Amino acid sequence: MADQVHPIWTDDELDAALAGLHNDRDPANLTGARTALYSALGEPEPIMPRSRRRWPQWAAAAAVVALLVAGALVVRNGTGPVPKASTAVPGLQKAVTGAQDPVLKPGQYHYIRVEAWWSTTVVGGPRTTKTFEYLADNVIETWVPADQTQTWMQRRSIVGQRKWVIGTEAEAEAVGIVSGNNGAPTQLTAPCGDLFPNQSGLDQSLPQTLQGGTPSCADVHAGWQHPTPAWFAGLPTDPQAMLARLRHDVPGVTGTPDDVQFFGDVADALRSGLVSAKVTSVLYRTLLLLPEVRVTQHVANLDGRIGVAMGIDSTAKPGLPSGTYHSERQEIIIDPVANQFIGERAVAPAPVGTVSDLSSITTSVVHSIGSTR
Amino acid sequence: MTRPSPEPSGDDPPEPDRPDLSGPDPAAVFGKLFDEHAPALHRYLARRVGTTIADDLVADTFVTALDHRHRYDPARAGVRPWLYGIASNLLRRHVRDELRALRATARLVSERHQDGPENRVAERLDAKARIARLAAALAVLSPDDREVLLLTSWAGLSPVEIAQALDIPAGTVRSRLHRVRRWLRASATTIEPAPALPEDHHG
Repeated sequence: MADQVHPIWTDDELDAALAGLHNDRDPANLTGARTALYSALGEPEPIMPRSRRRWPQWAAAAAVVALLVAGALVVRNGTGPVPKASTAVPGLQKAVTGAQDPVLKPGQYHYIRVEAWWSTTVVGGPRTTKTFEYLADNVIETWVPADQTQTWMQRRSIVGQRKWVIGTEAEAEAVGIVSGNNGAPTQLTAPCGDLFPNQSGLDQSLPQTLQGGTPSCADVHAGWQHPTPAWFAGLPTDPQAMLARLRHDVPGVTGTPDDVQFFGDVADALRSGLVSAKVTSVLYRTLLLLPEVRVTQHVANLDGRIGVAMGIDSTAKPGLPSGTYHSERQEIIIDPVANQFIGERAVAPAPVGTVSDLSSITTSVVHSIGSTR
Repeated sequence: MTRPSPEPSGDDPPEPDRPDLSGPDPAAVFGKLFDEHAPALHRYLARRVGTTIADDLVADTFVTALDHRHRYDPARAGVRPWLYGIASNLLRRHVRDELRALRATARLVSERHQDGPENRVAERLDAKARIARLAAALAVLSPDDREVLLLTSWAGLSPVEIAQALDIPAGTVRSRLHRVRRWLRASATTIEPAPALPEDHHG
């Protein structure tokens, strides 16, 4: 017991020491525990709404689920992946070399239209403990001025009916998870494409505020998620150098193989619809350097256009058993005839070849902001 | 402790911290339970036995909770103490890991302070040294005493909740906590870190 010679700690000192002890442990990786729980439940594991850094910020709230019942999007890929080798995919080789860039006159705009089925999972709410999952058809239209320091516009809307994976529209509406309609489109405008000025990081969810615009384009943080002409001009032109650049730009994140992140960053840039043919070519060849990238022939985008898919499988994540619903193959789809990036899809491994996300992208030149042709 | 009657009363939804775990949709209930409690439970367990073991213990806690969900009585305990009680039971298999971690922390700092007795005063003022001293002292506590102290300090459970978690009277929790804290305040300054055990150096 206490020796009178020694000073006695105060309660505060004891509490401070308790607070400081072992408070620097590594952050949790709960994916294994979650998988174990759902495995014990005998249920497919819903994937939480998570911030997917691979998606642009307006899609950050969207999440992938394995589609078990939403028939419209269940597509089986009969051909299966073929071994990666650019020589084995002549169509892709053509895409690497042949595309032409649209030339804008002053006052004209790039019109980029992305349509994507994304799923949303809502776990509980103010009046319920139930889990709901639905798919919604997102349309994101972006107008980019010839002079990119001028005003951009983006219009986001959800069209058509939700497709319910877990729960029903009526149940969800009754407990306030969704309202009766999709709401009005959200429209953002900002110079320099700075549509999300409050989003400094990559892992943010939807913007806090929807007013766009910092006064100077110099304030806009360019990068894979927001490519600008100056940023494109600074990219390497050699695939090996491009890979080194990706490695430099993408700090490793625990649990995610770097290649999956590289692939996601390239997809982010391509999804801007602003990548020149030359840079696109380098990016395709860079992706083919990644040992995990696989090429799949005859893949349809959301519009039904057939292309060649390049994909990377996230099942390689350490700690995740293969075949769980965490895993998916993320793919970009390229039309080798028209030499265009035409969309993306995510393929869950079980049931084999189930498509969980599917999108299309089209680009054209228009004469005014807001016009679509 | 005054609570509304625990008797289910028809239309009233269950209290949020006392869900009905035995309902027809365990996936929804346990999915929510996991999302609400797993991160904090992991932080607590990682402080005790390290991140790697905590990863497994969180999984084991929830799978055990699922297997024994019919034994959970909302009238008797909140779900959080119930989960921590399961985790505490599982943690007993890892006492050696916990002691190893505490001794390692104790040595980590004390080795920097072996210059001589004149540094003892400075050491006492040094927060890191104080943490090392605490680690050494915690390593000589009985597992039961350590459990009560750390469920309070690290998990933030009240004496009533700890009583629910460990299935002991709340009065026992309070008196044990009082005794442990008094002993630590007086003794932490005098406890020297135990010498490394052979197993501390490998694994």
